[in-house]
Amino acid sequence: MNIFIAGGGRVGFHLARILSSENHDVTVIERDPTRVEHVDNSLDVSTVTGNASSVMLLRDLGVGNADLFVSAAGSDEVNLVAAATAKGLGAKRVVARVDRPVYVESNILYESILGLDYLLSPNALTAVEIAKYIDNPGIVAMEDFGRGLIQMRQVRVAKTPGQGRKKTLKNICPPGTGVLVGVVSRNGDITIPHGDATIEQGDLITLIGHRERMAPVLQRFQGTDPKPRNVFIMGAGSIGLHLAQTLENRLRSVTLLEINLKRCNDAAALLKRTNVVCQDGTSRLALEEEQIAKADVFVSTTNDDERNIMASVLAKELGAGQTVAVVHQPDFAPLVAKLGIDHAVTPRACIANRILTMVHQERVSSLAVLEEGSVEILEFAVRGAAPVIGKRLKDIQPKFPQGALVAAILRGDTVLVPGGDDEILAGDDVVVIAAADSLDAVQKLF
Amino acid sequence: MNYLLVVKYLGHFAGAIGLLMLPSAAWAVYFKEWPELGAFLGAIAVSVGVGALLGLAGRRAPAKMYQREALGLVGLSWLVAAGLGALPYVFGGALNYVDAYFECMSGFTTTGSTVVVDIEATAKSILFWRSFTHWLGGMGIIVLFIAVLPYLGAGGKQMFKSESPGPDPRGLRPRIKDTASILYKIYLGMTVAETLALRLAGLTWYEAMCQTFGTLATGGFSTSQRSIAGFESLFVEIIIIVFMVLAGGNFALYFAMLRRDWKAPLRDTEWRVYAGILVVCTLLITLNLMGVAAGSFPGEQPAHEATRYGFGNALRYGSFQVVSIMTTTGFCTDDFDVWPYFSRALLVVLMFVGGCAGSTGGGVKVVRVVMLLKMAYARLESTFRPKSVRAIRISGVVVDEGVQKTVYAFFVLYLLWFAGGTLLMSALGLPFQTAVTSVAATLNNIGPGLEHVGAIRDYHLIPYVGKVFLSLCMVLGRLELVSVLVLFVPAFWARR
Repeated sequence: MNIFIAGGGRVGFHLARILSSENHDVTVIERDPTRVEHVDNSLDVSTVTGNASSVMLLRDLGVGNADLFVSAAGSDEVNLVAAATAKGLGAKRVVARVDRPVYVESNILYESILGLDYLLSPNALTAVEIAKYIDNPGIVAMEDFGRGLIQMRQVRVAKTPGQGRKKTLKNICPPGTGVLVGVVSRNGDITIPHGDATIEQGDLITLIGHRERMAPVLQRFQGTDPKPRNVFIMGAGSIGLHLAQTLENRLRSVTLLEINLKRCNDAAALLKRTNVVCQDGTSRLALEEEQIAKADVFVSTTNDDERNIMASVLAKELGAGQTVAVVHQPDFAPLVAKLGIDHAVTPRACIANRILTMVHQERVSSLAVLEEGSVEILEFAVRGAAPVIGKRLKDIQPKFPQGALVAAILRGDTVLVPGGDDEILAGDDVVVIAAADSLDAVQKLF
Repeated sequence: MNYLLVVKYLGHFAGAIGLLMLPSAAWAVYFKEWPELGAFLGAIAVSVGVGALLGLAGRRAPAKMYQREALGLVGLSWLVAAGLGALPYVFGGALNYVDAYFECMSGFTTTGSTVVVDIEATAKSILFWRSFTHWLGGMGIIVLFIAVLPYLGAGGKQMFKSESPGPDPRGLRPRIKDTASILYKIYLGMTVAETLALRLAGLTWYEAMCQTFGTLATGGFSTSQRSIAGFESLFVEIIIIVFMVLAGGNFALYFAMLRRDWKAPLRDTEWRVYAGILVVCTLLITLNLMGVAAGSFPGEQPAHEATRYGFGNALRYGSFQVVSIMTTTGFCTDDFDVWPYFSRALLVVLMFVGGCAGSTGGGVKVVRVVMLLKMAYARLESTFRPKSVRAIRISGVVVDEGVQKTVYAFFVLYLLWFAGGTLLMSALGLPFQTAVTSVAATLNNIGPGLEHVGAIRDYHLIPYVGKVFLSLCMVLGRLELVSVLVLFVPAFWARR
């Protein structure tokens, strides 16, 4: 695919990295020469120094032939103009990143008036992600495949099932369970495990399998978490506000801590059922005063990673049930688990995952992006003359790329977690786990 | 420095060099040169063996390549390539190792300086390898590596930049692998075209291929003792002139033309200056060869009397030599060592100008010369109009401060190396003209110089120290200093 990305900041860089590792043709347009140099030195993409909202520049670059144009610069207005220009020049699909509430709230109107395909806000997506986690505590990511019959759940292992030598996957999830452990992430190392692999406490594992068999398997890895009722949110920035808005009608109580009085007033005007408190969320006294120990979930959402992380550690120390931190610098995300924080959410990963879904939409009916884009789970509808039809899995093994695995097959209404002797038939829906660099090869097979 | 990674990729690279000897081995079979076939098979075995050992030693290397590894890898690869590529000459008994290293480095760097005294007595398969090294080095061995092996990623881009000539190499396509393969496709297309043209002009397939390699890489090795003069055909000369001019131009322009942007060269400042210099210098030398301004110093022997030409011959020999030297090819059709002083001096100046950025030519590159002149003029103007601010433009695009500084630094280092090299060669006992032009001809990847290293002579009489030094000059010139010079900076190798 021919993809243009305007803006080489956090979001743009991250997207460019993932897309180029998936063998797409990526061009990054960025105004700041030092950023251009950084992108140029670290990624296999072409770079252009210039203003992405300039129609002359976009025309000369041939944006009209682009399959996807993403404007992810820092300024909303630049993004809107650039995306509308690209669409006008003939780019197939355009996406603009926006953050200001005016654009986020009326995104559908703006999309239709400006002729854009998507307006996406990293902050709003982050809030949605956190809300999902609060609804299903302990589950880091979830996605449904095969008309809802196949589920994917990513969880952090709280307790290890089995004892001693019985800890291998073969014993925990023997074939026939109907659920499979697809991906294991331990301290940032990601593997697609074999039967002899072991699971340890603190691992992040991805389970895929039959909807009805999922719950008992999940329970083997998870502690029992009651549904949260009291939530504390630190920071009334755009993530905090979005989150409070989403949660305030569902939960018993939502408390929003914000240090700036003016922002507190604005938040209080916007939110009807939330307790807005003008307090510093990193102050022990303030947290104790607000009875943090009663909180089931503490979420820190400011723009400052260090404050978010430290506040979460402090809240945990003072007795909060679960802690969630927004981490903008993704290099910090894997460290967060080590500090005892339950979940870290990275805004740029949220938006990147949405865009990746779009990139794969043509061939793939549904998709989940894990671990910053290094692993993807895709659902293919096997139709027509796909090369895999009628072959047994162990026979296509040699052609099947390393780092990819058929996790589940939906045939009619039955879900199969296949072994080597199962074959793929026309009409099946197949769920495949694939590392980023094997995606290309996998797509060719189906 | 991630040593293991460098070792691993050097291993792959060494193996690849070994496999690239296979076509030459095939010619040895064709010409029934059995001792040479043995030499090639031995060299292939050694290269693949070395490659396997290095690959094995580096198999646990961490995958991430940073700028430093990429830079080091480029410089080392070229040294290794010449080291292994020299083996067929040695095993075939043609040359000793130092001579063979010189010859092979001269091949890969598309210089064309030779130590082979009697070319026509040398085995044809060996001569094919000699020309084939030109072809590989012309577009770049690393670029070939990138085009074929996809796993280098962003590191591959760094390597591409260090190997491609010019002040600011850019990719033609977003992914560097695609850029590399497009460049090679254009190169291959031109190779086929020239081979066919030369075949039609009456050369054998073997001769046509070898001259083509020498032309398109702007190399200069020929299969004939008298270089292109040996074919005594005006047609051959015209074909070779045309393809030398093409090879000395920026390949990115040909890519633009393939995409139906026919006027791309006309809009390009560098191409216009390049073409302009070729035309003007051809005219000047033609006039000079016809006797204009061809006087001599009182009391000196007028050496050029014998070569006073009529217009036709003056144009024929003048244009060929101008194009050959300016594009840094180094083919000859006439012994320019006996030309008038002005012509000889002009050729030495042209040696330094060289081809265009993004071409297979060597030298300082036309675009850098244009930039330097514009920058110098702006400086001069600022002395009497200190408040005026002026942007330096090339093809309408402003050249930023960083690139300008790099170009200055490059030029200063280049001249310093040239001056130092001349001193060293003089200390080895070479006469002044020979010392100057031997360094100029190798550093700029031309081939023949003047006097004892002139058009009809060769480099075999230069002392061994000199040969090793000149080999270094060649690779420095081909890789434009940086990626070779860093290998000599201790901090570059620090483990830390």
